[in-house]
Formats: sequence, structure tokens, C-alpha cells
Amino acid sequence: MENHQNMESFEKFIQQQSDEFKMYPSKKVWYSIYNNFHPSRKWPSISMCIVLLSALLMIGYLNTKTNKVTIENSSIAKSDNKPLINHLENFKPINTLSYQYTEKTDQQNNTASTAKFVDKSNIIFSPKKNSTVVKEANSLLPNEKLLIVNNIKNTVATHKKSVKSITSSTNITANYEAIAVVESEALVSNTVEIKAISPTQNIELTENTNTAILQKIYTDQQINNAGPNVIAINIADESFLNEHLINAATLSQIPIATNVTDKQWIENYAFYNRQTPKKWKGKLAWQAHFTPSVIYRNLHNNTIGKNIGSNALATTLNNTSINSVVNQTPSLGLEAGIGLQFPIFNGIKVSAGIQLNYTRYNIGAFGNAHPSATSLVMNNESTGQVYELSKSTPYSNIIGLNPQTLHNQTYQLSLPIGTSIKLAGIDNVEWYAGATIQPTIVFAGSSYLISTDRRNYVKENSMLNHFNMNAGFETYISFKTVAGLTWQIGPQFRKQLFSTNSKQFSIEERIISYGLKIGVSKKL
Amino acid sequence: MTDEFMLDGCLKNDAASQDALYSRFSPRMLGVCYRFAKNREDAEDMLQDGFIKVFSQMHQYRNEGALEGWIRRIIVHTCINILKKNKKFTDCVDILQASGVSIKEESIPSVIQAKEVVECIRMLPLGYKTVLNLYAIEGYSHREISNMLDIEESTSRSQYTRAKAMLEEILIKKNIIQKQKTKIAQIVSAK
Repeated sequence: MENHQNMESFEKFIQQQSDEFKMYPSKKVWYSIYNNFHPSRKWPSISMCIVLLSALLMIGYLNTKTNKVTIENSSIAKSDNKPLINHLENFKPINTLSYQYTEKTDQQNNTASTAKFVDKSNIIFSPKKNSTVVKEANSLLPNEKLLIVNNIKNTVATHKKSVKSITSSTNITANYEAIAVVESEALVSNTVEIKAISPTQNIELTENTNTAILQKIYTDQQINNAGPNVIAINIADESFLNEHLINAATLSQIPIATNVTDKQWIENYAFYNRQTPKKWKGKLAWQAHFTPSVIYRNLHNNTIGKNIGSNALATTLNNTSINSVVNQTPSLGLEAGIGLQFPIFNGIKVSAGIQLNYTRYNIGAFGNAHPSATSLVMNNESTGQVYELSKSTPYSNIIGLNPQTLHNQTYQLSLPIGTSIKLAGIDNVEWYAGATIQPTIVFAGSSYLISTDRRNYVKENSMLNHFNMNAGFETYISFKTVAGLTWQIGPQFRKQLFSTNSKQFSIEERIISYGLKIGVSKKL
Repeated sequence: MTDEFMLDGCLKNDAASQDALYSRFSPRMLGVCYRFAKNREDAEDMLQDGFIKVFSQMHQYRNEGALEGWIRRIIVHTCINILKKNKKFTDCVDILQASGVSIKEESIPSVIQAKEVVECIRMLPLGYKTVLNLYAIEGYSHREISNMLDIEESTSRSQYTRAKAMLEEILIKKNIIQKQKTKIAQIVSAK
């Protein structure tokens, strides 16, 4: 009795002494606890990377513009002489590639004529009607040359018409030393190919004749040495020509460059103002997509081969098929993202982007009024030992008063990188197959883990694996609309490569989702 | 700050309420952890993990029993789990190993009584110390201890018997228990 009393007294004594014992923890402990529940911004680096990448892309896009040269009025003075002037002062750009000659009144006919220099260095001359070519041609001074700048797409018939309209009179031909036709495209390419005809020749102008005549080439040197006065006329539109006659008087008022300096200026202007196609323009496309899906999961025991201390535990772990003892049903998930696509070969595209994912599935359980003691089977990664972690939980897998549905869900951010291969296509409809690999960050979620004896569920969000990897396979039909948008629709299969839970937990969980991907893309 | 206000604040993840709760209970809980741990750093790690679980599971507290007791149970479970995870506990459960431990006179601490007693408890082998802490101080039954530590109930009992004997020997050598025995005997005789 005394011994018993002494024993109880002893225990009371050490209990009392222990209760009186206090120690004061360092500040570091509280800071760690505080940061656990009030984390500071954990992902500034990722968000800053996204901001920087977006800024770089925007800067690159805005700076890849056509290098346009602003054309100012030429300082070349207009000649007072009748002869054709070779100045451009009366021309001012309509836009970056066009000039418009200010209208001048024809005193004889009280009508105005205009000359326009538009697109691809073409000069469109718009003479008034009813003016005879002879009369107009007579106004040309000797040694004046007629330089016809012709659109490369024009047919020989157009050439013929234009030449004929000028040379229908022998008088006209007498007044011309040469008539040259310059392909407008040649101006653009910084070389001038001059195909000249000699109006002094008695040439019957037929279609074939025109062609032969047009093949005779005058060099730049000859043109330059022949005199300063060369007129450039664009014959771009056959129907336009049908309405008008070439007004030689007005022709004389057209300032054009004839000497080497001026011609080079025109050529350089056309050359540098030629719209430089961006290398990636027409290829790079942005895409937005979303994929509603159905989420399934598969559970697998990962304690095989590890050192399990207890035989009873080993029996439980090895003989129980987890998927058969849990009541789980698939649920809906969603993926939504944006990205860029770029074709690398014919029919093969690569893509990269950013995507938000939401996964969820349902667990059938029961809620109890009072928590019960249970345990989780854990792995000690360093030693390979399997041990049990004591827990308490109000959720039962077997029996309870209140049926509940527990949701295992995750919120993810992934960076899908993939490729698509065109399988077939007709007109605007194409069929593609693709695959993506998606490094994923799980930034939030909830996790209910099955207990050792499979009788309870324990909520343990700390077991969530914050980094994962997903692989996706898809096939889709794409069709282009008139507005330039390309719509894609097709099935997608996505598999999670790593377990949802940390390796510390003894059960691995893999997510599989089947969805319908709907996307839209447009070329930049 | 009242308990109800503090609990409500902790449920809402209010930092001030969490700080108040932590400040109130952390000194004693660190003492609990210190009895299980190898050193102060390990004890603080146990305390940190324990309070994280306390705040995480605050919604499970049902106002049945004292808050300190509920927190203490969580802290103790945390200590046990950490010991089991680090395999430090399982290494030292062996009775044969424990029986070879000898207490050196010069290693017995000589500080004030409460801390001295705790230091003496900490001198015990890990298995003895754990069982003694759980049974004699925390009030768990041998059955509960056997479930927690994954040992047999008879092992728990025998471990405790040997732990207490060893602790008594230490305290006697330190002249602490001797004084208390006298004191207790006086109290008993007075009654």
C-alpha cells in the first residue's frame, strides 16, 4: 500500500514538476508558423517572368514595322520652260507610296488634269477627254521622250492601246525620239529595265509588233544622255485608259525625274518604301482554348518493396485493393489557356502557352459528430521504412450518420508545350492530331486521404504534390472563317504523370481526364 | 482576449488571434516537446509542426474539455510522429539496449527543481522516456501507448516500470527525490 502510494506520489510529483516547467521558444518558431498561414507572395518570379515575356513580345511586335521613308517635297525647282520638267515639287505624297500632282487647269479646255503617282512607283496619268493626241503631242518639245511606266500585270493589249493612243499619228511619232516602256516592278527592284521602241521607225503597231518593239532595250545611260525630259506614265488599268486620252500638254507638266540623281531617288524611294514583309507575319498565330473534361482517378499502393515493420500492417497494405474499397465518382474539370502557334514545316505546328486547370472528383463518405482516432501509412523516403502517422478525423469511409461527398480538387497552372500535325485538309477545313507536355504547378487544393485501415478519410492538404507533369493527346478539326479566325474542336485526353500526393504518403493517385477542347486562333 | 474571441479569430485565420493563442500556450507546450526531444532545436521543430496542426485543425475543436488539453494532445501526437518518422524512437525501444545505460554522476544537471526533474527525464533512453512521458505525465493508458508506438501493451508496461526505476535512481542520486520523498511522507503522515 505504501509502495503503491509512493508510486502514485512519485508520478504526481514528476507530473507536477513537468507541468511547472516552461520554456520560451525563439522568434523563428512563430515566424515559421505565421508564414505558413500568411504566406507572402510565393511566386513573384513566375509572375514577373510572365510580365517580362509579355513586355518583350509586345516590344518586338511593335518594332517590326515597315521601314518607311518619309518623302518630303523635292527641292528641285520647276522649270519655267515648256519642256518637260524633271522636278517633283508639285508632287506630294498622298500616303507613303503615292504622290498627287495638284490639278492644273487646261486653259484651252478649261478642264483639269491630274497626275498621280501611286503604288509601286506607278504614275497614273489621267488626261482629260477629247484631247487629241496629235495636238497634245505637238506640244512636246523636241528631244522629249515618253517614258511609259507600265504595270507588270498589264497585257500586251494594254501596251498596244497605250502606245497606239500616243502614236496614232505620224506626227506624234515624229515628235518623239523614243518611247520607252518601263515595267513598274522594275522600279521597285532598284533596277530599271527599259524596253524602248523607236517611234521614228515606221512601225505598224500590231500586237506582235508591240511585243517586238518592246523588247528593244535602252540602257540607263542612253536614256540619261538622251536628255532630261522623260515622262512616266502608268498604264495600270485598261478600263481607265479607255476613258482617257493622254494629254500631252498635261504631260509636259508632269514633273518626273530624268537625270541620274532623280531617277535614283525614285528608285530608292520605291525600294525603301516597298513593304517589307515580316518574316513571321502570316505564320505566328495566337490561340485561346478551353476544355471541359471529366476527371477520373486511380489509386495505387506504393509500399511494395519497402520495410513494413508490422505484419498486420503488411497484410492490410498488400492484400487490399484500394480502388475497390473506396467509393469514388468522377467529376467535372476545366482547362483554359492561351498560347502561340508557329508552323515549322508544312503541316507541322509547334505551340506554347499558359493554362489554368481545375481538377476534381468526388468521394463518398460519412460525417460523424465526433472525430475518431485513425492513422495514415507514411513512407520514410530516406530509410525506406513504412510507418503509421496518428490522426483524428470525423470522416468515415464505412459507416456514419451523415452521408457526405468529399471533393479532392486541385487548382493548377501549367505551361503546355506541344506540336500538331496536319493529317488531312480540304480548303478551309483541316484535321490535326497533337500532343503536349505540360509542366504544372499546383497552387491550391484539398486532399482527403484514405486511412491505414481504409475505414476513414483524413483531410491533409500538406500532402499535395505542388509540382506535377501532365501529358495530353488530342485530335481536332479546324475551320477558317472569313473573318480570319480559325476554330478548333475535338477530343482531348490528359494524363497526370506524377502522383497527386507527396511521396511520403503511401498511396499514389493519378488523374486522368477526358475532355472536349474548343479553341480559336488567329494569325498575328 | 477571451478564449471564444481567440478561437473565432483563429478559425478566421486572424494573425492576432493566432499570436495570442500561441503566446499563451507555447511556453508550456515547448516544455512538453522538450521532454520528448533530443535537444532544444528538435523541441522547437516539434512545437512548430504541432502548432501548425493546431491552427489547421482548429475547426475540429468542439469545446469539449479544456483548450490546453486539446492542444497538448496534438502536440504530443506531433512529437510521437516526428520521433517515429526519424526512426529515433524505434531504434531505442529495445529493452536490452536500454538496460545497458548507466547514469554517470557528473552528467546529472544541477539546476532548479522543475527543470532539473525534466532534465533527468530527458536523460533516460528514448524508449523509456517516451513511455514515461506518455503514461505518467500525459495520462495515456498502456493500450493507447501501444497503439501510438506500435508496440505491445506488455512492452509498454515493462518499459514504464524500468523507466520509473531508472528515473528514481537518477533523482535519488541527485538528492531531489530523496527530498520529495521526505516531504511526501510528511504530507502523508500529516493526513
